[in-house]
Amino acid sequence: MAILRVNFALLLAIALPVLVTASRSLAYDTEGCLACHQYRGLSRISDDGKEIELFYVDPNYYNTPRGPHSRLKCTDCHLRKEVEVFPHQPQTPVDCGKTCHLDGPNQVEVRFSHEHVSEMLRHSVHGEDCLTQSNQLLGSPLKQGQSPCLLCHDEPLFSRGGQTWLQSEAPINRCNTCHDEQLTVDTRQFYWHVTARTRPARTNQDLVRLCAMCHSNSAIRARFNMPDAPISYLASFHGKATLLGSQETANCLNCHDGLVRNVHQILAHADATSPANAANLPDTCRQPACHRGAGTMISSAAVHLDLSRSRGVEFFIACLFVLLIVFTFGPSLLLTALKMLEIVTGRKDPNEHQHIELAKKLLADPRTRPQLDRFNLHQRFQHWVLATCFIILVLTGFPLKFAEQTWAAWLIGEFGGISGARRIHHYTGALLILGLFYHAAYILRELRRQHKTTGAGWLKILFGLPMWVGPSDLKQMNAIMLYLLRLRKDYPAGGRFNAEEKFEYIGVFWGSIVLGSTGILMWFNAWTTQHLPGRILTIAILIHTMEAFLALLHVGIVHMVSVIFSPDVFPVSPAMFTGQTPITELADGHAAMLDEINRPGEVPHA
Amino acid sequence: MPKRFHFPRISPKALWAKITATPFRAAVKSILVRAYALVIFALVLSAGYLAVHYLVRTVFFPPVLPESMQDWAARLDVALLRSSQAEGVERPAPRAPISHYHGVDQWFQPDPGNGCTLSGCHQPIPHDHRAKVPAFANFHTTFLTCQMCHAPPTDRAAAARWINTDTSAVQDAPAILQLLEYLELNAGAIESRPASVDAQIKTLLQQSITAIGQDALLDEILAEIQSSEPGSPVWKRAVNELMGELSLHARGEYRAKLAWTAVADQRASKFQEMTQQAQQYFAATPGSPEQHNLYLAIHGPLASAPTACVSCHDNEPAMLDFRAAGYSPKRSALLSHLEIARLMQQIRQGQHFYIPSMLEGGQ
Repeated sequence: MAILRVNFALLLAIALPVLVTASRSLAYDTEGCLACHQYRGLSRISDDGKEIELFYVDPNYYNTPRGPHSRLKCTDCHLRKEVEVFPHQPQTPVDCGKTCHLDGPNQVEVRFSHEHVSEMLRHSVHGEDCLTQSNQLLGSPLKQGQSPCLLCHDEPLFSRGGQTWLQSEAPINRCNTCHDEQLTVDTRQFYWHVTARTRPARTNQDLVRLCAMCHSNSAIRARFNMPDAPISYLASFHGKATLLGSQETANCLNCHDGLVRNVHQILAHADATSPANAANLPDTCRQPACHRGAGTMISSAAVHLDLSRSRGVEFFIACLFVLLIVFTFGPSLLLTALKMLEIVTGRKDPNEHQHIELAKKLLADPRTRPQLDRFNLHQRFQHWVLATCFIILVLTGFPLKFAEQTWAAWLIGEFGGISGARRIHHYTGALLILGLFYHAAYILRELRRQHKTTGAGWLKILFGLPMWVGPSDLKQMNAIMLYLLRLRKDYPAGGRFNAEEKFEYIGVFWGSIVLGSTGILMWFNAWTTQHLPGRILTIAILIHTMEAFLALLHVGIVHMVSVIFSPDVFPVSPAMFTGQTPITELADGHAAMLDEINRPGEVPHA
Repeated sequence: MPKRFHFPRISPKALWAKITATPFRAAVKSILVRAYALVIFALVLSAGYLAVHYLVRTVFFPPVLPESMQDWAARLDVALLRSSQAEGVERPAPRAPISHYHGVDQWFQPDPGNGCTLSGCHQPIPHDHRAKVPAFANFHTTFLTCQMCHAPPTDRAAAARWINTDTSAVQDAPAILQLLEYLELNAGAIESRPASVDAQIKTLLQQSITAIGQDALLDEILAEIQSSEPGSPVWKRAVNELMGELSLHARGEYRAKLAWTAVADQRASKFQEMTQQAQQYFAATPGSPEQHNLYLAIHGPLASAPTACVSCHDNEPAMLDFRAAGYSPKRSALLSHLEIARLMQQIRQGQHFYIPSMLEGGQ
């Protein structure tokens, strides 16, 4: 085969596009490789027809320069004899451990090798044998002779830490004040080389994704007898925060290489010097950048959470909540659905017409009309404070529960990221607790007023409050269910607050106490872990999230249908806006109150 | 005598009044309310089922790795070329496949209107080891339709037009090429009358970035130009940066391809026709005359051999008029006389060549 050797003029012609259009940008590409390799489309399909071979090299990597290797020539890594000929010869894999000759400061040549990194790896849990076997178990993505470094590394890019390119030029210009002529040095490269190391090279998400490549691979886990650590990490608070885009939360490296080592020196957690070793964990958790000031017991909080496999206290608490949800939300859901079915089938309570007429009569009478207002201004105000807090808490809290969903990350982003959302969640939660105390004081005031007026005992007054759930309410709920199941002819008459409303009210009361107390434990986790085992935090977050889920189901489905989406009240019941309940609602759910008001000489509840 | 039938005499107004009479309205309302209640009934049960299902799954079953955390591509599988969801195709790849060192970013712009590749016959990266310079030919497919090389017009002065790869519609030259030309031809105005060129630069730059997909540096230059007064030091610095940088970012990723005018005008209809023919081809008995005829029908307009590189890059007159296609004067001059094209032609004829190292290290 004829071989054509080109002359100098020919080389100029080849390099012309580069030299003319990119003299500054391709400063390090002295071999002119990017004249062709800058094109993303420079690619082909492998001879076996299975794989795409990309020959694209990002010119910006060398242009800006964007990485520690950007000052290297292509032939520093690739064999000259293979790439100087066109078409290129089959490539020998690059040896990352070879010694390079670098231009150091002041134009002094420096010899450099990654051999010391290999040495670190050899003494770490990710030794050569581990990486070789992992590659095989991954299906040998690394071909024969390729460096195991490629399992974790691709072209290393300097992180800009959120700065724009133009913003980052300002400090370089300052460097150039002195370094431009007298102390000549590539300030841009040096600046990025140093400052990039002060920030993580990868995002938390990419880092976990990288670890999961092996640590969530079933074959590798079986071979090395490892649990699925990435999955259990992602089920914990830190993992969920990572899924939601947080860069501040703890990632795999924060705990497994600590602050004093580097990623190539990770040790098995059984090793006594590993930061993840049980003896060292308290200090690892209490790193200044993490849980500074926390108690040593913080290390027993679950950083890897796998409910279904743990079979511990957490699992049984979760089971209890599943039962609680099924046996409280279940009947409510059934009632709501059956009520809709009643409308679909057109079935009516035989007394409904009579109740409607009575409601109309009472509404028309100026003496009785005010008595039909079921909520006064004060109560409506409390409801809307509660509703506002609830909505904000749901919006800022539930993305954590559904952190793997795209919408969750978007929603958290709208609140300024996980830290912003958490701050809003904390203060709104505090407002909700204040509201709870306020409501308790409101009830006490009512008790005191009635005690003064009637002279009755405190307990008697308490049990007589219109929202207090008593045995009669259970009977009423039972009667409603029987009616909806067509085992009873007439719908049971409800009072000012019917049984369903009373159970909802008690649910809110209980929920606020549970959510508030567990929320406080988590908010002040440093204090908690100084006095209580860290496991309490795991239990608190579990209870908090389960109870919140129960509350969301009740409010989001049952309550929303009864006050907004039910055909009887659609588009919305005005009861909590004006205090006045619509006639159909009065007739359906509060017939006993109508009877009570209609009874001559009776004084209804205020 | 049979009684004649008479249509009841009723005015449209009266008819409408009858239709909308109270009982009818009540019936309609009742149906609507019942239908609505049925929808709420279904929604309530569905929501309840989903909630309990979620609860049981999260408590009693092991969690699964979220999709966003699934492992990196071990390699660039050919199947990725037909998946618009693949990283690097419609969105940047956060890292290269495991065995690949150099960053790949967005490495492929799909062309959903290309009948040759979408019919299932040819890969979207169509040139393989059978071609002498497959990678070189493949990077041309980023901005050229297949017919540009494989069905050259007999008329040497045939015109070429740009077609949008997303819509297959004919469009103007890609914004980045227009911007290159604009900056080159209006260098004086940029210096003397910046306000007169500001709007056009911003518009074209915005369109260029949209077409490229993601370009942090151009993004930042645009932001600088947008937030500065035309002619101000900041504006001038940004525009100068743009003039220096822009040609490096015009690397064929335009979301548009050049096509001979006849091909461009018929692309959408030809796509349908070619897809049908391809389906018939695959359905036909292998080796049958029917299949052979279909093969000939599909490939009839193609030349026996692809056009030589030098036809466009080192010929007078060039087969493709780069200026008419929207390339700037400087870029057109460069592309019309590319020495490398002649070398590629020699490779296609079985020759190798070596690149000397005379310029290396400032020698």
